[in-house]
Amino acid sequence: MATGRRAIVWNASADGFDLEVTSRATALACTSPPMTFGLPALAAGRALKDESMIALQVARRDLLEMSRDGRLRWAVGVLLLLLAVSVCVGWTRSTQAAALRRAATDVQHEAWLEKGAMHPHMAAHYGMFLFKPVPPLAAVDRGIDDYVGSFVFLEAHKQNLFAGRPAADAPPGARFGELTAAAALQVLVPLVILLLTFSTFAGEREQGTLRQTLATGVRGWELVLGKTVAVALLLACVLLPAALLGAGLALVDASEVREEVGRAVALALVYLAYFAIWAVAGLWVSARAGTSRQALAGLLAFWFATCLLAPRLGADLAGFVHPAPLATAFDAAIEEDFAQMIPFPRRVEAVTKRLVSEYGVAGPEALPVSPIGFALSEGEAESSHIYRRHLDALFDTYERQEQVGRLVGLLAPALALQHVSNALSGTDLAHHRRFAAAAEAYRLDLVQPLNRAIAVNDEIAQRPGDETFYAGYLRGRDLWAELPRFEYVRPPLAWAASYTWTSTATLLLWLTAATAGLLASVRRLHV
Amino acid sequence: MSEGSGTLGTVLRHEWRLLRADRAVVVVLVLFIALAAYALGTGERRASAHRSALERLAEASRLTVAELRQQAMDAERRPGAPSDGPPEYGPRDPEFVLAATRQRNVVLPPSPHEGLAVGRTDLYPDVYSVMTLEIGINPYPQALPSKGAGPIFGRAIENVTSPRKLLVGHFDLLFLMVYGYPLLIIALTCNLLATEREEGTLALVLAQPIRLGTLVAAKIALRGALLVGLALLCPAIGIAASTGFAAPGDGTRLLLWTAAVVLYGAFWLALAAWINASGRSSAHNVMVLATLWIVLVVVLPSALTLAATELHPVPPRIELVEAARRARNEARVTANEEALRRRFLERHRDRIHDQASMYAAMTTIVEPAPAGNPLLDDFFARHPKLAGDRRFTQMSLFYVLLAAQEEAVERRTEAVRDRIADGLASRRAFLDRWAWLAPASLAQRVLSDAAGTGEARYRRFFEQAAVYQAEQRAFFWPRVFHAATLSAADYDRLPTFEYVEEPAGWVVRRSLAALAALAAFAAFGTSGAVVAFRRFGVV
Repeated sequence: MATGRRAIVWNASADGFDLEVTSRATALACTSPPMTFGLPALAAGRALKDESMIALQVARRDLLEMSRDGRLRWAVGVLLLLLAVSVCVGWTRSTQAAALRRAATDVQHEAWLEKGAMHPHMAAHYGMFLFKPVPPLAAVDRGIDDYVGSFVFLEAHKQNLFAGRPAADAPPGARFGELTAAAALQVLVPLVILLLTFSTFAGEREQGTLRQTLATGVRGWELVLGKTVAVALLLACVLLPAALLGAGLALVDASEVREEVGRAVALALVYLAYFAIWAVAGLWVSARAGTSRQALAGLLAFWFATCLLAPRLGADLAGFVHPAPLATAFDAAIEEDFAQMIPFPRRVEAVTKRLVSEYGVAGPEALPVSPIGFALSEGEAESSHIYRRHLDALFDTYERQEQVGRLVGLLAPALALQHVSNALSGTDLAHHRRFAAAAEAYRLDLVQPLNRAIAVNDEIAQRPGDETFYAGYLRGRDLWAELPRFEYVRPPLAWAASYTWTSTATLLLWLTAATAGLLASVRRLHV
Repeated sequence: MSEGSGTLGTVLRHEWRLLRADRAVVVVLVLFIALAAYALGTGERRASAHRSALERLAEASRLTVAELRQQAMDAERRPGAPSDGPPEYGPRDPEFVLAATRQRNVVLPPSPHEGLAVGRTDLYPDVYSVMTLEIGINPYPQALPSKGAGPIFGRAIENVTSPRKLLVGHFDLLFLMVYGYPLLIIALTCNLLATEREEGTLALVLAQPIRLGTLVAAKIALRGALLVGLALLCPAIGIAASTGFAAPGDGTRLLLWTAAVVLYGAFWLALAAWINASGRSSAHNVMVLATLWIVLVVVLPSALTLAATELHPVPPRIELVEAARRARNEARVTANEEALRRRFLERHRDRIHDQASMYAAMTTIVEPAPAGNPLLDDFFARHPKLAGDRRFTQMSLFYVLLAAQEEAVERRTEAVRDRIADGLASRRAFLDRWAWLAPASLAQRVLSDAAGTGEARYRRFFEQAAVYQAEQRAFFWPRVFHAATLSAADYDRLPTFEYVEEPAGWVVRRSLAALAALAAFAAFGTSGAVVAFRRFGVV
């Protein structure tokens, strides 16, 4: 019966239950009360021989049932509201922060030029603040950016850590989760998907309609396709307006967005894959569970474990396997290495000796260059090397921790998604590290020319060997303006994709496994 | 129908047997206890490492001062020690001592109960090098500036916890209590009467001489006792494992923690009872309670945070950085220190041949301070005592100008700092006013305050650090400007930073409103449940 094109089913009609012969599509349409609202006519007429119409009928029926459930209407409505609010807030915040940092960078450069006459080494101590640019997609996912600081002070002898963490000013509750677009997409959308899917099979089984549906001869994949389409359509009602809102806001400043279109499309595809995982997993659990209560409890436990527990426990595990140093220990280790450096007077002495020999002059008093400038330059290179070694080790530890997180992502798709989402938004550790490296390179571009300006200059050449030169040598705007201005180019999409393929593959693996599991379950569906 | 305590006892015993026999309940309880043990274990491990690191730092700082003091006393006793003139660069020279004591001189000792809740400890620095008379030093854009407390010039040892860890947060006892505890309650109570009602055994039980109210009360009392036991045991074990109730106020803090958890738990228990009173299936109860949990624990606190952030924006720290930069430029140009030094070197060219003679000239030749320097005039007008006869060595003049710049930057950034402090204060006031909307937020703030890792303790620390900065200036400025020689007696007056903990009673007072709100939530839930159970149908 189930294999033929026609099936014998119980049809609810105004006259009561009549036995009749009809097409599978029509029969399916009649298996539950909602079908009395005119759906069958379409299927019965034109799509009698169309297999895909059966899936569509399933979708239509499920959609109707879901849309009639007041709890789901509320859930979807609230989600839409939260997404809209978070998208608007995210966009406002990130565009404001981006504009502020751009303006602050200009102000800093102006201050650098206008600081007046001073000794070049004092200028190096005067330093420069660099502000980390805000990538446009931070409106969707701020990633770690709130926790790594928004600016860094560049100065002589020292590679500072980034300061001004926006999270430090956020209310304490923010540590328990902020209502960002990313949080809504990563945590709340899956929750609504669970509510949409947990009773799709299990609920029908409890009501007895699953038996009737299967009696129509509908195939497993058709049932799955239909239910998936229903969930997808309902989700689209939430996601499409949010996406359109986001796109509309992004177009307000199209110049920034043009370069990010590739990243935005990739981000949308990854999120779609993530939602698909939850939808398929929800259907799978619903198909396997004995009751809808079991399905709901199981799915909620999975949601809690993967969306709320796994990130924390994963980070704990990562910290346990690859511990980051305590702040005080990190500081002390750098200081210890600094203590091993040649003391400055001895460095000046050694440099003087070398220069005397190189220039072939009788003594230091005849040198046409300043040994102090050379010594400062050498010291800067050495101290920069010390910092780079320690900071590289620190960032390597962070990256190893991220790798552990990616492994945990094999068990929790939310973690894999966070990794890809942060990377595509340009707000992950790798992007921060790249910017920090550029900032350090610029620090040397700033400080070393100043040291060279001390080492070799017209004034000392006119008064060879004058040791008081160091205390009284002044330079002005001409030198400050010679130094390059910091320019930073965001890495392209390919760069971010190059190190996120494992997490992307993890998501695809989850999707494949869940789909295979669902199809297998549906093939042996118990009623 | 009369009921004695014997009936209640029988019901309790019966209920206990039922609970023990329910495998799902046992699994959930064991899982919760295991997670609590994990949270306490990792919390204590992290806290003890933090504690010993900071104790070592504070000890090193004390040792430095003690050693310098000893050296100064030795130098003082040495025969032939010069009684006048500038001090030798060493432990009797204030500039030397300032440089030797500026590193990591302000340390916030970790809260003894940090193991219970990480709070803000992984975000705010707790070690500062508070500095004065330092070239190019900027006001540290510290978290939580208080109005009128002044900026802290210096550096902080920035926390280097992995940013991912900061983003996702720690799995501490606080997290478990705010997020996991309600779930445990839901698991224990979602099936208070549903199955018995569905299977018809409820009608059978109530055919005995027992009222529905007594049955429900017994069921809830048993679960409540279990939950209160857990609420008390977890922090008690945590405190006993860390400091062993040695710190003052340990008992009060434990009581505060327990009160918050018990009231928070009572609210969830009452809510669960209320939902159970609908008489629907346990699946329905799970669905409704899970939805309530998501709304009350996940969505509402986030929405509250979002509202606070959006309605009460705090000016970004970048504004402070910019204002400080502008102020420094203005002060620098006004001070014109480089030009003054260059003129000094030109003036005394005949006495300066090398580095040593240059240093000698700069530290011994006393000259009147240049007249008509607006920054200097302004500084001396504010500090007439520091001006003296306005005669300084070139080195001292250099430091006077640094102090004047420091103060000018402080004054000219005051407006921005105040705006930031005002923004934070109005945001705090907003959260104080509306926190009652979200019981999870209430529980979170009381628990982190009880653990001593909340914002309030850090605010107090920053205020005390600002006071220390003022003391540091008051001690060193006159001595450095007038090249005074430090005696052992001066060392006794040398300011050192010692954080003064706030009395536990203050923490309790601050938490009373939140506790009252939690109690009101619990009372509301209970009355709702009582009313609903009056309409409860047994079959």
